[in-house]
Amino acid sequence: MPDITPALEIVDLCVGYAGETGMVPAVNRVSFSIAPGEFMGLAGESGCGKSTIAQSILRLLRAPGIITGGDIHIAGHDMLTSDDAKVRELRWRTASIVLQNSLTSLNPVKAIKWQLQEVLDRGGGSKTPTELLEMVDIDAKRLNAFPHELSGGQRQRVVIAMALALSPQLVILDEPTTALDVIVQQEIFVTVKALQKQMGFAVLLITHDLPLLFDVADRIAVMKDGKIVETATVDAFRRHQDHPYSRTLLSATPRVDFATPDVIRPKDVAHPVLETAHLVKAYGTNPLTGRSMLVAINDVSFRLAPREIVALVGASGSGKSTFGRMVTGLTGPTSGDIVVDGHTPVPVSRRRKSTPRAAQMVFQDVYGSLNPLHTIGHHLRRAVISAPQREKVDVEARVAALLTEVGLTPPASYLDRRPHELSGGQRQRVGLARALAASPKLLVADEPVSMLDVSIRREILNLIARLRDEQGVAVLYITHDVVSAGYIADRIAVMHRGQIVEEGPTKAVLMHPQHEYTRRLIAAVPGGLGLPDGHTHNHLTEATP
Amino acid sequence: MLYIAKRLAFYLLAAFVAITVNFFLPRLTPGDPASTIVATYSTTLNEASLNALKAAYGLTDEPLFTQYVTYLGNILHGDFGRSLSNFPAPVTAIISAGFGWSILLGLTSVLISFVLGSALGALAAWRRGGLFDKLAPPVLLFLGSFPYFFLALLLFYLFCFKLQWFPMGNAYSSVNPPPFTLNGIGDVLFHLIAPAFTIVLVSLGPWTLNMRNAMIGVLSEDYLTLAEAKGLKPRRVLFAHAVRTALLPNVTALGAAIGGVFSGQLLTEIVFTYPGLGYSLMRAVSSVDYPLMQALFLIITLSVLVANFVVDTVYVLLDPRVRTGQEA
Repeated sequence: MPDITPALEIVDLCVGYAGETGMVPAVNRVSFSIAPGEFMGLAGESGCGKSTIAQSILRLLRAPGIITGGDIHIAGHDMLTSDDAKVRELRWRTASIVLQNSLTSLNPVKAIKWQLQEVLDRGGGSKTPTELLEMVDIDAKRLNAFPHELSGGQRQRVVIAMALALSPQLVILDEPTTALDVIVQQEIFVTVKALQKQMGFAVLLITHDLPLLFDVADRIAVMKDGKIVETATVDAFRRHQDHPYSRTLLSATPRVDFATPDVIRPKDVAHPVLETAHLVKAYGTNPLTGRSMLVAINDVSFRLAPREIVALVGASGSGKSTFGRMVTGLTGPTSGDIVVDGHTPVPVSRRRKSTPRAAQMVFQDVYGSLNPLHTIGHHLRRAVISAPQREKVDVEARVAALLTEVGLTPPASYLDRRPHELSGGQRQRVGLARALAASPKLLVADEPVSMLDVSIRREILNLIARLRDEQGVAVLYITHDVVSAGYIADRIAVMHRGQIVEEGPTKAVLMHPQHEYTRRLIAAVPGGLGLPDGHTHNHLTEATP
Repeated sequence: MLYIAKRLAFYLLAAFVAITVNFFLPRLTPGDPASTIVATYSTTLNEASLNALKAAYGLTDEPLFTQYVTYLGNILHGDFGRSLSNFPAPVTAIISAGFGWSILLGLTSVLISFVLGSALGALAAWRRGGLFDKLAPPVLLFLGSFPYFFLALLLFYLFCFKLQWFPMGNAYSSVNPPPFTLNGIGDVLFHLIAPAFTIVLVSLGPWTLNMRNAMIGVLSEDYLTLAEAKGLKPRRVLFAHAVRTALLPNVTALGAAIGGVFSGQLLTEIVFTYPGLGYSLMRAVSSVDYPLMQALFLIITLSVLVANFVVDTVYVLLDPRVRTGQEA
């Protein structure tokens, strides 16, 4: 008789968080099941309850979270009515989990070998720590390494090896690659898919990234506000989405419009808003050789014309953020020149009120870049007052105008609010308004949307494009995301190991990448770039051996 | 290894600076110690004796730098001069008499506070919001906020004087230090209980609170969720994962605590007339015994450095993250 017991079966699961005013429901009568060996994707935005489900499956939910009803069976084992000892026994043997943050998923003070052995010591594993590491393509020499000595991708591979150590029927992947670069993400999923084929475990992948699910999953469930609004096979879902929210989520993902040709701007304008010549930034010097230990930016010569949006694309550690910080004067260069609107950026510590600040920064962390103690009005007034001005300005009028420009209307209703009373998207709008207060010629936006929910990323990108159109400000858009770069930028510059390896009009670069690294970056985009016919680069499904 | 070598170099440099400051500071203040010593005796001694005394204290007309070199040489030979209040006993003799007792009292009380405080803190965090977690921190803070001498005197009066459970002072019953036998050790430990207990009582609060806070931070880390998900027994999750990493900040604090033993337990030694260095320091100050004071200050500074170096070394074994020397 074939094994028809589902790897996971959830029936009418209800989870609530005990608050001061009673139970706040987080998961509301959710039911779904995963067949043995099936790859299921659970998609939704932050706060929709998808991670709560992941924690509930292994009964890892902590106070104030409480499972208030329903059933969970893993491979036929009841997880909710069993006693603690039984649940402990079932954990990891029947289902294991990989969490988002690879840096904190492993105990920082124990060697990899110790952590793998700890799981194997429970008995029932058929592999040695060495075999486990080799299984996920990590050199067995790294067995005695500590987590901080591995890269983010390697650490996540170690956790995956650990998750498979006791051959469970189900592996839960809770946003496992969100903190990693696309190329690393692609490599990890190639490994997971290959191991799944070989070992036959089922996967529950929790993510906000629908295009990624198109590449790797068999079936998709979409969650909103604690409920599953739609479940479908990937093929059916790609063709047609039943629920309006599924369509919203899908259309919110920026797409590159290949139908409109590139706007070719004159390459060498007389007065570029930003120009760098042989820019170098190096950190730390070896006392013996006098050489730099780390060269973050290596001989970059770059120009940005007025009213131009250029995307600086690269992986983490490629030097793209360092470049942005030098342009805004937050860090000084080791050698080479930067000219922004005719001036060399002045370091923050030596700025006077009259110092021109043609370049303004928009930060990635919308939570950390606004002081939580001050009101929005305070933040913007400070920015307006400290901006270099030729004549006296009406501060209140200027603040109101800024808020209106970034779409926070009516402005009066935002003035007395504090950052925690705003959504992530609204906060980033405040960040943009603050940057505009000094009437800059250039906005340096360092990953301005990567911390935001998918559905509002496009809004913010549209806003940035509109500010360019209306205010005439040029934008240096720093990102790891090729798709959003293709969506918004006139030109793309690809940064790799501190150098710009390729530069050109957006669609030309995306359709005819010249550099090997650019090709890999494009090939790793989940769901593909949607390139016109004849330009399909291999993506994940084809890359699978 | 490179890391430890770097730390060692740093501490050697710090020790050198400490010795230098210790030499120059008293000599740069008006009315330097040597003249004070000589002045004290100038009316009672004749010319020849006075000159002999000047020579004995190194009060020469040599340039300061020459004196400094001589001083460094003397220190390397373990020669700190002669005590004034116990003339002509060498300073080293007085210090070596108290040194062992201070170490005994200090290490015992600091280690007990460290172990007990960390355990209580771990327990409070593990059962966060429970009865123990609600009671322990305020009670310990309350005890810790008493002026130490008041609490020590109170306990001394109650347990040593009224109830006579513990001896009224000294580190042993006999006139001379007891022999290294079971009875002798028992006698020393018996004299240790009361002073050590008062120190533990007032210093327990910070150890407990720091451990509790560190634990709460660690408990919210993903690797603890993962440890639980891996089906490990609660005891293993607690000790191998939570306590193991949450202990690290307390280990760092241990260095400062051990280093502060000599200066910190001054009051304890006075209240319980315990014959340690703190007691010697008090006598040195009250009798203006400069050579003894100077040597004691040096010992206190050096012990802070040595304790911190030992803890730094232990820390390297406990936390692999500092081994690669990424602290810069």
